[in-house]
Amino acid sequence: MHFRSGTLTALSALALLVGACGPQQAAPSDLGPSPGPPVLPTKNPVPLPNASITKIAVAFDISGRGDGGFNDIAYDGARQAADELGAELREVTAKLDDTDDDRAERLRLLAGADYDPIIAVGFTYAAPLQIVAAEFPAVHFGIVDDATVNAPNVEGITFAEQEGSFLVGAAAGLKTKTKAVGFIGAVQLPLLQKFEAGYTAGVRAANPDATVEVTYLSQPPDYSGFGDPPHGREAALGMYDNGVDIIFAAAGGSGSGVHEAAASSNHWSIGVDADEYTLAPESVRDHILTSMLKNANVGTYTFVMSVARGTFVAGNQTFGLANGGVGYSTSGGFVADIKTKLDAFAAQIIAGTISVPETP
Amino acid sequence: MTAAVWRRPVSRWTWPAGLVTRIALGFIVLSLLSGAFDAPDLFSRGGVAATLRFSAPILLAGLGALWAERSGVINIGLEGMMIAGTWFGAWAGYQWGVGPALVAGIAAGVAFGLLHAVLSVTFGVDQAISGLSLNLLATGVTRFLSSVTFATVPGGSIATSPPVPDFPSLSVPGLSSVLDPLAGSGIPILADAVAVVLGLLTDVSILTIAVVGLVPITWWVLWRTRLGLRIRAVGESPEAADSLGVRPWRYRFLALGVSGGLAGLGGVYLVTVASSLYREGQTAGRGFIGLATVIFGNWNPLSVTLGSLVFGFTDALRTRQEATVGVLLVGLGLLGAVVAIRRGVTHDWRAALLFGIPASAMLAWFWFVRVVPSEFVSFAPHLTTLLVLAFARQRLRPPSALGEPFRRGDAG
Amino acid sequence: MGRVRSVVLTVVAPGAALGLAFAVAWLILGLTGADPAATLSDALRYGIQPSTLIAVVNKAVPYYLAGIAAAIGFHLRLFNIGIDGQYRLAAFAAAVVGAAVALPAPLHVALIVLVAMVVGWAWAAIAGLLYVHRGVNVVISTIMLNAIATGIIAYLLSPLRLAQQAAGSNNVTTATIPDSGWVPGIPTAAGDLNGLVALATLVGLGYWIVLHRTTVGFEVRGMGLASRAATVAGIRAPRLALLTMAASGAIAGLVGLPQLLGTSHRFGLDFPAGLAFTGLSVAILGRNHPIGVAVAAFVWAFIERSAQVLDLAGVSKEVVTILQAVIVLSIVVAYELVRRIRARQERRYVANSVEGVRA
Repeated sequence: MHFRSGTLTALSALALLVGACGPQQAAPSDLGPSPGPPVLPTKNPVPLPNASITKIAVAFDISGRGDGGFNDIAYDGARQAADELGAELREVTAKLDDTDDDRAERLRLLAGADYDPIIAVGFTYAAPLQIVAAEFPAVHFGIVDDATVNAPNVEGITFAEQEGSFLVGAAAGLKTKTKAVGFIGAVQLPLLQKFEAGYTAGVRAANPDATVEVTYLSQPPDYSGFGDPPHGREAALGMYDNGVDIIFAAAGGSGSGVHEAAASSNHWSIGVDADEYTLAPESVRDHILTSMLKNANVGTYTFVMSVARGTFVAGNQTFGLANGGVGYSTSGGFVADIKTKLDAFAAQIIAGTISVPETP
Repeated sequence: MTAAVWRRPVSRWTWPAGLVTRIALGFIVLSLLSGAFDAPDLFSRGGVAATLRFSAPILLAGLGALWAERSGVINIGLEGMMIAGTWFGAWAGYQWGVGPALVAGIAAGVAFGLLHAVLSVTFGVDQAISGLSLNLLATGVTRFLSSVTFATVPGGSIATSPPVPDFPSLSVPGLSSVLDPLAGSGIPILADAVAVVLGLLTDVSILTIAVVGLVPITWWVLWRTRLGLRIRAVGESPEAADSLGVRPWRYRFLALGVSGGLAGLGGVYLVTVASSLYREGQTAGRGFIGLATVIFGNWNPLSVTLGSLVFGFTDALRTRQEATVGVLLVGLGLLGAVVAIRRGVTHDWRAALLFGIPASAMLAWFWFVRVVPSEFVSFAPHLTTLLVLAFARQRLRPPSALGEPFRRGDAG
Repeated sequence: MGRVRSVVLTVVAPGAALGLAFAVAWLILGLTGADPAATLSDALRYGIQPSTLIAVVNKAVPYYLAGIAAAIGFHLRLFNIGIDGQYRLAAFAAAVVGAAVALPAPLHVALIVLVAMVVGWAWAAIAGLLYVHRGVNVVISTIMLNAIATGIIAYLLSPLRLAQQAAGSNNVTTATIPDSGWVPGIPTAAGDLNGLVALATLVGLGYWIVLHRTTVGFEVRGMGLASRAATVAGIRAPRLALLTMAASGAIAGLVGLPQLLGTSHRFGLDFPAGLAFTGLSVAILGRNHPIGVAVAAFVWAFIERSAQVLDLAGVSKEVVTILQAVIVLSIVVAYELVRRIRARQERRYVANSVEGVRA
């Protein structure tokens, strides 16, 4: 929440820049082994039938807003765009036992009620969107975390999470004294394994001798790992007891437990999605080394504004280090001494000399 | 039926020598295994402390289920009552501290418990559907309340509360300095035993101590007081109790109130001791696990405690260090092998096979593969609970009138 | 006279329930600052559109199957919380097998259905065996088996094993079942009806026939009504419990098929979870009767579908959840109140008749 005030101005400036440049087709090296689905021609931006946007909608997956992380940030981007455009913003959330049909109907209702553009958050909307997008060819859809929907009115908004995770992994590798670091993921999903893969690669790059201990709190479709601070805390305490001194908590709402464990046992933890130093209670913030930033707001803001400006282009757009989609935070100043090294890694990733894996 | 209950003051607080011996034996075997396979976390100070923190909320839900079921009402709504406890505990806690958190969380649980009583006792609604609906209701109500409270204060959101203070912790003075060298000595069995003692007696939250204290209190009230006798009588035969002037609805209301209060306390435990904030979905099915422990524990408090400890212990193991789960498998495999051999000795070949095959499969797996995939580690607590139950063949004796609505003078 | 009254009461029960639910919904909507009249009429108007009704029926099909699975267990007081694990494991196995073979259409579908039923049957039989031979309560064992099923699926549903991950996707799915294993929708003017409606109808019919026209069904009902008398009469309780549990699992195995065969044609991380409680609730609301369960499943699906409109009208998800709980409760409370009124009337009627005879 505090995130909005400070960082966002900078981010939105960046987003404007990105928006003005139009979607950048990611270089193959940025995407790692899988270059993604065929991207539709980008030459002629689709002219906008409705230049004035009045109703914007965000459809969340089961967790929804209030996670203090990714969903909230994605919403913030849409919120900011809506405020600037003076448009109405509507959010809807899925239920645990929703089928593809239910998700399709949710999108259909939004499109039928003249919401345009519509942002679907989460890969679970991919199959439904493929169907609904064809039924409403005049409505613009954005889907976050998926690049598979192939339609002239759909933009895939994906993030190179592994790149940001690489940098915090490098930070952990450089800072560890015990040569043992940890990774705690919320739920063992491919999306979170991208964080794990990047983190591990980053640790190795910075400190080849260091070991990485990995654990996930739950298995899909048991999504309790996203909101179970007690398990996050005990998993972290277990790692710290076993010689780990820095843990990257890609654990959603369970992350607060990890930070708490770091504070109570006097170790480091690393936040995810938002700059958690600014969000955490004062008692634990001095133990948050850095945070891996996934600036979902850049993605959603850019998407909405591209529709408003008539620069919307279908196909996938990856937000990585190069265009400010991911990064690491420096709040607290705990990584000030290694910042040059981290930025050197970042430059190498952007230049393509380091290729970060997407799977562990 | 009632007469039997009346006369026989069933003492369920015996410390069966067999049980103690078995636990001691199990400890020694696991301790030796942990040494042999280099799994230091099987019995560590931190692991024991984690076991306590994982077991306590489950135990509270279990005791809550015990109160309800002893009075003849199934309480599937425990999860919802726990959710209410987490929300109200956090809401009062972040503003006014731990005392009010305790009061608010318990009160919320009691309120939901009484609502369950109104629905299932007064209106005779199916106990399961009433409980399930209360779970839905608690989820909805807390989310709604979050949107008008936590979402508007700094540090909170629609799904998270601001930080909640913790209860103070206590240690036996001087124990750590005396025992620490022993725990680190590496002497087989002794070092592990000392680690367990240290984990149990140092840096324990006073709320944990209170939870442990609730076990004998529950036993005493239910088995040694007139009130408890009446509650149990109502659970065995409400008609007979009614004919003796004990009004079933009154005692079911009371039992459900206590049941909800205990679950609410479990919620408070989650937001204060186990973590330090309210987080939507934080209960993560603990109410249902608690419900399971009461069956595991054959409706008696000591065994309910044992059940929640088994679950908490394995949960702590798999959460803290995945590798130790392999050692646990070896332990379970050995247990199965022992049972199989004993069956074989008595020529009960079918049972011998029934236990022998999975036991040797588990041992073989560990021998050849060593690593348990992390996907399987995730269900270690559940598998262990299931296997312990299967090995320990139970003769369950639920309260006779469990699940039956009581309708006086009503044949239909 | 009594008969007319009883008919009136039968109609009054659901009516009173609806009225009560409506009143509470009104109150809650008012409390949350929405305009109750507008919101509710929006929801209703949306709910009774033909296309919505088709969608509601499609949504009700898995609920119905889960409801029947739960109802089978209820006859012996077996609370099958394991429906969730059973259908996910069954749907996963069916998807893997269905994608691996190529057969003529009817055979292909039959094979998939068979695999789903067998897997559901076998997984539930574990709980049944543990109950019968080791005395492990079904509630416990099925809660634990659900977690174990989750782990097993998570292990197998990996690109390293039986699944694949499309480039650019964060979903992991099994391979897609070839066309011959698809069940086409039944076209109507308002949209396609899921073809598995036919299967659900068969299941309902089969359930009724087995229950009311076979020896096993008679034994199950006898055991449910008076277990001691049934045991004395020579019915073997353990055998029956095992049978019932496994049958419940076999039907539970079908729950995932409407989505698998009708729409997605593959099993993935986006497969719905958490249908067990819906099934149990629907079975209780429908009083274990094949038609009652159908009505309950329809009502449940209707509420959920119409709720999507509330979501859109700014009435948030949490309020919808509250509404759902309240509606279910008002329905059961209304049932109970009507039952009491009827019982009182019957007593009065009997008393009057007896006195009439005396006089």
